[in-house]
Amino acid sequence: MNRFRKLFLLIGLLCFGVIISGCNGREETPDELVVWMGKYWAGEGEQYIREMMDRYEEVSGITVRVELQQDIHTKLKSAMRSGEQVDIVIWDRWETPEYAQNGFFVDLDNYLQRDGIKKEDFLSEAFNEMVVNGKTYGLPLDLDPHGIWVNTDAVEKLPETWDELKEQAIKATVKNGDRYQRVGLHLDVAGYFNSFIQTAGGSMLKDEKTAGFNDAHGYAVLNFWRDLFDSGIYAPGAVSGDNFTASDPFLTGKVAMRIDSLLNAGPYYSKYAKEDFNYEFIPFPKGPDTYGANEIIGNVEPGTYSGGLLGGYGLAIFSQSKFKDEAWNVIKWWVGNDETMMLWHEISGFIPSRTTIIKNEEYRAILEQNKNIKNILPVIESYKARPRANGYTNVENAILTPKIKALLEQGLYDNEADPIQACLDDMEKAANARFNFSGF
Amino acid sequence: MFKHLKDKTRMQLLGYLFIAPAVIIFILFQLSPIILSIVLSFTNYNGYTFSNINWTGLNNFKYMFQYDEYFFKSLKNMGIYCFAIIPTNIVLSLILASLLSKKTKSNTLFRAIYYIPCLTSAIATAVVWKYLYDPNVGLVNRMLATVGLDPITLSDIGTAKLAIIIVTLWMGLGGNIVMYIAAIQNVPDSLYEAAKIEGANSFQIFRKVTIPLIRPVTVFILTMLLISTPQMFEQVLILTGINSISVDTQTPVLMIYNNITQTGGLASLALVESLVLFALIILVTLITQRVNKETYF
Repeated sequence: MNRFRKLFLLIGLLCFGVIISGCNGREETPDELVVWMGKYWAGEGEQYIREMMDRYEEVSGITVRVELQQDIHTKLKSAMRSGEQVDIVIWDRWETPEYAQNGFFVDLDNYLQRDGIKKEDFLSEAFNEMVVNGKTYGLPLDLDPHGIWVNTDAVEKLPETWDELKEQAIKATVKNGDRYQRVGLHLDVAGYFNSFIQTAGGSMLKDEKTAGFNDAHGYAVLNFWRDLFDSGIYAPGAVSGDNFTASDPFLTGKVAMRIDSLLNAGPYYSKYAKEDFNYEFIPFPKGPDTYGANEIIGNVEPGTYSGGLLGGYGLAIFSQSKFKDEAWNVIKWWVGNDETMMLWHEISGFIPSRTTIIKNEEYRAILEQNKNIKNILPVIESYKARPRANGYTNVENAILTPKIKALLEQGLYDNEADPIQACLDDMEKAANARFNFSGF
Repeated sequence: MFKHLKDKTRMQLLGYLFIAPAVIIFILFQLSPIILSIVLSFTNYNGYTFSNINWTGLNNFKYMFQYDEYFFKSLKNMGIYCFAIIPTNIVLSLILASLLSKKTKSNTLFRAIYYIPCLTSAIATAVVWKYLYDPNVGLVNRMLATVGLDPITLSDIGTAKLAIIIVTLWMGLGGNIVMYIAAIQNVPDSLYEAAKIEGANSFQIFRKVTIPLIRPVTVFILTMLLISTPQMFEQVLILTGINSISVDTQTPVLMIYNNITQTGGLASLALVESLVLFALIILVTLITQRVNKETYF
């Protein structure tokens, strides 16, 4: 019996040791901070972040451990419950409302006030994405404009209007019988309804709970896309190849124009494009001339509606962090001044979020040397971020895109008197129901 | 400590003590989540926090039946997968098991080969198949091209479903083959000999002797397939992903996973969806068992 008692005592001590070591893995004084980022940063992006954090270590002596999370949403939720330590989150700005309202991020207003960092120093569209109910939950790290990557060897002229986009796409399309040798415009519509709505002068929402796209602007976009499909510049499954690798269909010349963001495509095209491959990145062309929206927009200055969707990331402090002040110091160093932001641009090639840089002639001249962003800079202030509404991400991904694909690719509304209007009505009804779902 | 108790009571207590760990684990990790899910499905639980939860009655259920069209589409996809996979799996497993049931050296090797997919991670299997389906360099499409057939493309709605069905069959055959081999080998030789004496040929013996005698195993396999096939997840996740484009191949479990992990605010809807799926699987399983009642009794 005595032997058993000793055994139990030993097991008990071991368990206690494991619990103690699991409960508190970090000391109270930080010699290391932890940064999390999502899978979109995998590859080149991760290297940029690591390099920045190495630079921070050089100036501060504090190591910042960079961890890429394949599923950052699940990881953050479990960290919130388990108390796992993370200090800074590199956060997809458009998802801020739901997480900020549920206590995931620290309100930075006191820090901003204390250190004299002004919101006016940042592009308002980017800054405001991280403001929820008047509180600031992060600072924008970059400006990630969506636009069109154009193979300039396949296209005669960079399109500036919707009509020119269609014209150039038709000219660039090469077919052998039914098979595409080159697609004029890779019209994978996921997520780009918003961009085209903007260039048509419309908006996605009327207010936080009501869709705003079911009007002449939305009609013009779908009408234009249907026209593009009918003109045979693209068909689903027409091209193959892994995006953002050496076999990317854009780089192998199978696609003349493709839609994507600077952050998604820029680093890879800069790396993999051969010397004899010529390309440009342009904003979404101004629309529309012949799709019924001239009456809506009226006489406007050229370029007013050129632009599109502005995405990007922000730096936020996780509410469970034990080292909030130290985490703020990293954020302040990274995005709180022009010099370090220019260093970030030099490392990553991304557009800094500070207007103090964008409006400064000297800095602007440096930015314009980057071929990926030179065409975007003139209209960057026309770019609009996604609406800040609970459930917007879900509505865009899970409702609008499949319904638009059903209209364009599967002909599910073809039996209706007006398929486009039927699709818009359907999208509006489903979107409004989702915005008003009890969980949002 | 228990000396004052009668022997019978003491034995009963000891029995409860032995099953206690399993019961506690069951209550903590299986029963409690089910009960919690049922309760939370009547609230506005958003998946982030348990604070600010309000009772919403049947609103989430109403929403699902009124607006959640893609969940019903995923149920339809599930039905297609079940109709394609379950009968094919049973027939193929039975045929292969009957070929592999004789105890020869080559059969031992083939049994191992057919069982390997069961030992491999579903995610790893699906990743390999994704490469096999590649339109440019994939082995499957190259073979199809040599015989003049159209390629199987994961971005095409029609062929994507077929691709998922093939992978699921490949992953699921091994285990059922092993069960069928064991069942076939348990059929008494005397019955086969009697059938031969009566003049039955091989096909007749298989149809009239083997199949009826291995029916309990067939019912078991059918029940397990009716439970597992509607819960297909990994292969669909890898082959066609979770995104708005994949609504035509999406399964209910994938949609539930997406709603509860990726999208803030839809956790209570995901719980409602999982309850509906749970009820459907139980219903189908009960019907199967009812229909095959005589197999058990």
